[in-house]
Amino acid sequence: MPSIKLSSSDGEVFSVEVEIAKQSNTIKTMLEDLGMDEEDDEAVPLPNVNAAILKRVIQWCTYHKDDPPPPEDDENKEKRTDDISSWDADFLKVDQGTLFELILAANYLDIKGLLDVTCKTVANMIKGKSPEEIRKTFNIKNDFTQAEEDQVRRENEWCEEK
Amino acid sequence: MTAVNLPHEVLLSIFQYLEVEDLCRLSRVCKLWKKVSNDRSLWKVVTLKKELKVGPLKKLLYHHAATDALQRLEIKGPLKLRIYPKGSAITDKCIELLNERCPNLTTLVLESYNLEQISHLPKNLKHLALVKCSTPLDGFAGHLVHKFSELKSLDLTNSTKVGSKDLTSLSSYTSITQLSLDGCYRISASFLQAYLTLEFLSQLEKLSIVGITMNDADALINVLSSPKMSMLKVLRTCEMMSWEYLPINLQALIVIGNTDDLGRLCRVNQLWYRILNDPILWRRKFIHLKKRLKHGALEKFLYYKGITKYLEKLWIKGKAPTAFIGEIPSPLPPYMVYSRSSRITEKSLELLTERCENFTTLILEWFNLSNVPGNVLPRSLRKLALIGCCTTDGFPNQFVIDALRHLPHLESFDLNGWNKLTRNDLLVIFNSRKLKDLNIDGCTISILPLIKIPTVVEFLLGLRKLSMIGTQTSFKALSNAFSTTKMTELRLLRIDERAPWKHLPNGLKVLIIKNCHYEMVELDSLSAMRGLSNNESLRLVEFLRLRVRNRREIMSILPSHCQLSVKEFGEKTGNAKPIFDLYQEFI
Repeated sequence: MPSIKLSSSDGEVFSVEVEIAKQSNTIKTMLEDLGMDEEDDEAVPLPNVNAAILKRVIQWCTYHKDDPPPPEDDENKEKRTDDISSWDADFLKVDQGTLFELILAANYLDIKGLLDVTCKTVANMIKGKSPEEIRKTFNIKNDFTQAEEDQVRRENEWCEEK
Repeated sequence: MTAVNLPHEVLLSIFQYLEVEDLCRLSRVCKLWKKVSNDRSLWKVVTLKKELKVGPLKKLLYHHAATDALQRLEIKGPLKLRIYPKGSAITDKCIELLNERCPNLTTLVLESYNLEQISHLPKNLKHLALVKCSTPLDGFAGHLVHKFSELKSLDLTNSTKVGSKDLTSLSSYTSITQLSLDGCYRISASFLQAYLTLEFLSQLEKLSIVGITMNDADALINVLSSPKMSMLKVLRTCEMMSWEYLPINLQALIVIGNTDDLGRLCRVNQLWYRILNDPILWRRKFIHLKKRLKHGALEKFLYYKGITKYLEKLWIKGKAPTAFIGEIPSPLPPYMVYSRSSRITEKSLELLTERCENFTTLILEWFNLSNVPGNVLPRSLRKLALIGCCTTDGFPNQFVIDALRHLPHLESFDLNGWNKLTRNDLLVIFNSRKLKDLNIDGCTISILPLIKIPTVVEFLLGLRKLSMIGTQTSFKALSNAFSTTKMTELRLLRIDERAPWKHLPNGLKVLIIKNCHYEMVELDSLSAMRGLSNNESLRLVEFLRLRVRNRREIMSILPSHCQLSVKEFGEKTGNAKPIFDLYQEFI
């Protein structure tokens, strides 16, 4: 199995099978378009991903290496969030900080499957919660003035009415 | 790293999974999230599952910033049969707002509203569905017929005030290619012929007329011979029609009736025989015969029609013991007798193997499996269900043993209602192979004494879904075996204060509890249920046939993402599907 080296933002180098690394469209493009040689000893720099996160991303990609390619997004299809596999659910039992880092990494590396499942996990944390509960869950500060808050409540009260 | 640092595009990828109600709550969280949750890409399609009265609808249209992105709006109102509650009338003001604020709206689905004016609706609409709506009598008639010049599909299912004059006006909408008049009883076959112009009919590609008044067979034939028609849905009309002509391009004919009707249709004439035997009509992936076919009829049906290379799932019923037709007794009585017609034969199974390339699911209900070899089953089979089946050559008989040994991909095995199953029989199953999904509902044996056997433990560890409603179980003894499994779905009988809720499998997502009698969930079992709250992966807890008075208390016990559902026995769920979706399924 040919492998390539990936270098994290904090300089740690990981050796990964090419087939596994290619789940990242970003890396795939680098390899194919930029003509990076598989034999090349030089590590591919990934300045936006640190070692701890990169390690997890590689773990995810390794487990999912035989998955069929994820289907293209279809606007008319209902977006489900209850179809997270149990392995993924276990894999994503991490603190919020790590979860968001994983989303950013999946977004930067363009790994659709990982981005989907991490976004679904966060969406599940939001579903059915009140604004105050959401702020509490994600530690967000309410930056509306009283007047703005009244305004935005007015705009959205339609969906709370019985 | 916190949620506040996430860039706009990433937040959008998260928010796309949320319903509009959640988006509205999100926009009250903070300024950035308000901006993202109002992003136009999230507001192209608004489908509201809960009832929306006209007051809130107006507020949505009036206040919301992204209404101009709206392309598809699908809402349900409070109108009931002969009851017009407050907030069910779509007023002129409301239609005005739709026109002003939603310039890009092309699909509008209104269910259970009272409409005073149809012709004022946005004229750019391409798809309009007024389902179970009260429309003004002959509301499509009038001088505003130049409207809706782009209308392609019109669905008036169960909007029963649609009348003959409406048909006259519809005739001028020559852009319409799909029309559903299901349940519009004021319209009859002769009206269709009298009021729809030839030009209109020749444009039609799909027509659904389930439940209109069938008073004139010849009239209907004239209507149906439209050259472009590719899909047609009618209600059990074959007895009264001579069916001389069918649209030449017809690809799908959905007759809501039984398979006997189809059989009779075949005998009408050669043309019909040819059309009804057209393989395109039979390219179904899933066949579920609800009718118990008579002796020999099943074989013939399967041989001539049912089994094509497209077939993936087959669900058929044999003849139940005469004393119990209609009601499936549980547990089954020992004196059950099967008639000759409920045998499944080797030949049918061989046909499945020969013809189907991707066959995955076989569900047999009430069949006699005696002396049938199981090794002729298609090797691609993943799910095998033998509901209420019996054998006279003992269990596990050759069929079951063969199935377990010879099907390499078998994951799911259903023995619902095998009340004669003994512990040794079960041991044979446990020992023969690994399964992911096992259903032994209604088998009265207890599996407790088996749990200490290593092979059984190994089997249980591999299970993802287990259903054992009606088996004798003590939760306490099971708990140790379960707590380490990868199980995601569990169906059990009764709720019990001694139940070890704490020890349910960690990854469990669905828990279904059925009760035979209408018992209450008592408070002491409630306090025992508190163990459930630690089970973070739990997504759905469902009580079947159980009266739950203290719903709120149970909700507060469940983990935050878990849904609670309480169903009466045999309750039907789900909304009626729009006809054109059905068409997609059919093809």
